[in-house]
Amino acid sequence: MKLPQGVAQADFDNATAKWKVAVGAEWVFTSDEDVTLYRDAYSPFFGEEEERMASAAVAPSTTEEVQAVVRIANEHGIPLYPISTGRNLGYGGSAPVLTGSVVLDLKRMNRVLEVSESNAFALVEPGVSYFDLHKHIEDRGLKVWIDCPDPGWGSVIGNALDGGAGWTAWPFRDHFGAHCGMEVVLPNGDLVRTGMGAIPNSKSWQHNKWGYGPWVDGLFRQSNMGVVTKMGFWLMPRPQAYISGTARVYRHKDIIPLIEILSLLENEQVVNGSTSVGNPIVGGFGPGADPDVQALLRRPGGATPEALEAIAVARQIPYWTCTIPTYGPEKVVRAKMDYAKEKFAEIAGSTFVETDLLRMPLSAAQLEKAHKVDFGVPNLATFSIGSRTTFNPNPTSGHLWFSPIVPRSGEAIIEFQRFYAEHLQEITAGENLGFLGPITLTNWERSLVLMIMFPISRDKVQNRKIRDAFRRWVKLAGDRGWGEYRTAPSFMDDVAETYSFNNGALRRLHETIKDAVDPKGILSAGRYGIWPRHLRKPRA
Amino acid sequence: MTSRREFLRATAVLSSVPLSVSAGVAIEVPLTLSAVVIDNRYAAARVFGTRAQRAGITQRAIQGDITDLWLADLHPQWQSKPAAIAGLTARPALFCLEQLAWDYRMRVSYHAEHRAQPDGTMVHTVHVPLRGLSAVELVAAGAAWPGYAAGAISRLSATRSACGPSAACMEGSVGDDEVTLHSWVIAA
Repeated sequence: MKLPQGVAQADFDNATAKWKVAVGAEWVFTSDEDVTLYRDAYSPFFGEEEERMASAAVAPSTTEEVQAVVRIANEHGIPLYPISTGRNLGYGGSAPVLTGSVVLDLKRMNRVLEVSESNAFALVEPGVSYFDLHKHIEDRGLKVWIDCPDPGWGSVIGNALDGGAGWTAWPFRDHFGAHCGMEVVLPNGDLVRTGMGAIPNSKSWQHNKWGYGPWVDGLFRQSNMGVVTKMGFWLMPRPQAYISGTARVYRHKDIIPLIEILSLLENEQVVNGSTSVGNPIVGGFGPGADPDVQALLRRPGGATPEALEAIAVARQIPYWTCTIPTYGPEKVVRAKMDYAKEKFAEIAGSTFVETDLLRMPLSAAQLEKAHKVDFGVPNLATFSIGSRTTFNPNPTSGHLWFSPIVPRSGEAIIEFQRFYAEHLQEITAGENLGFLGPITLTNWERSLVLMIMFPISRDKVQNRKIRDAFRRWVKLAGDRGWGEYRTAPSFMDDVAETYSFNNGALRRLHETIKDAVDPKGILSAGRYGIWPRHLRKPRA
Repeated sequence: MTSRREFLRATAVLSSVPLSVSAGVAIEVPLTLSAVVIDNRYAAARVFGTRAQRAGITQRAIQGDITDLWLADLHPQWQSKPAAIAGLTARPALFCLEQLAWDYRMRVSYHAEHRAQPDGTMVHTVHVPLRGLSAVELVAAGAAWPGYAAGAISRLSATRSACGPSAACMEGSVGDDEVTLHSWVIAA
């Protein structure tokens, strides 16, 4: 394995020896066989010289051990890269940004410290997965839900710090937004608790987010300013009921009032579930898509909205749909759905379909048919859907998401679709690189994400094309004011470049803070484009 | 454009090959297989599982999704003592189990891919070898390859039955499974 840049073997060996004393020799991993387990399964550089690889790994089990590991790293100038469970695969997983970093594997810190049903919060360590927290709650019969992303194996803390989101009600599906209080080991080994936790013996650490003075929690989100060793989360009380409905519109420009009404319903707090916008006229990815539509899409330049609209209206295939799940007391959600129906009816020609109301808890039979994460039940079903088949003869080996934030309007969706169509030929040089999308994500309130998926394979030539395309999309979108909201380590610098207001003032601020809290630059060098001073590239 | 849920369904096909592609050391020593995992949607996997069961290895069936297997069986077991498992499944199940196994310092120590061709023949690709189970041998087993593979894997296990590697044990031909299946062993 590669040594960290600028670190002498003697220093590395000294640090390793001290870590073995601090955490136990069996929890320090230096063999190639062990360290290879921290490779990024979805790396777009997999098997190439530029693949980001760790040099070793250390797995502490307590906050005190984390402090000791960090102090030793500081003493010897060894770069560390903390991971929680290392399962955020679409965004980098367990591999460091800086090759040669030592992974600080926090999986052994897997205690659920407290769950309060009456105040609806949990306090957890970084190694607690969604599976773990859900089991803890279920075993005790507590009437609170977790919110989890599709794969349930990830870390509750790790996903939140990466800026992840889930599927249930707002604000709980904004994982960082739903947190309340942190405990953090700083790069010098000091220990800080934020919010009300900064008062010794406080019993309101998970009751009030803000505490007193500047709110520093944001410094530890998508960053490298400290190692989070505890984090509180507000949980959703188990709702009495769930209901959903789908509005269907048949004209291209109906997306404009559709998004306006959706936004109103969310901003009025009528709808609280993870909504979605669909584009059924395009036909999805599977067999059975309308052949006339497919023929239009295959034309050079694709199908015009007018041509698609003609088919949509004639055959009553919705051009757009908007699905609005809602959680709450039965009487309330029924009234909310009636109100939502009235609002969507303002779009001429629209139709609305409502689902049956579901009362909680769901029965086993109901849960079996449900999208379980909509009901706070973690699982791995998302991985089980596909394989190599005659329909999918060449499954790939991972994926990257390009997820730019776009203004919350139907006009922005139309603009993005045009942008994508305009640049696709240039970016792909006419080749089919297997992009999927763009799809509209409405699950972040007040904004939109227009997501494009890039497949990763073990074909190095293909991966280089994908990387080049990804970087090009990042730059082009950035020029339009659309910034990626999170990304894989290979592209963190590219995305950081797009946040360039006032000649990179935000980055300068990040670097000023970084230099103050981590002057030796030992923590997660390069994460989200924040480099320590000694590794920073000169800029104009 | 399509909905987020449809998108996630489509992109779920894009799961990873195991990193074991880069490892190449055949298993040399006997190990105790605590279970054989089969995706019972596929005839070949059912044959594989039956053969392994006859060799005394517990069978665990999934239908693509390993969640219940993980939560009810493997996670509790591996928390107290990680134990080797084998299986014949679609790739996503192997990918998930490999990722989870890494937390217990276990890894894929045998892996082969079994792809049906349009003309009905099989292509077997061995990514991580197992002594006595080469691609040539799998081809030679013809339609009985699932039983043959299970037999070879079962011979690794300390819980072997009296049914040795004879043709009589390589029973069962498989149905017309379109999906490429993966046989594997995960061990320390």
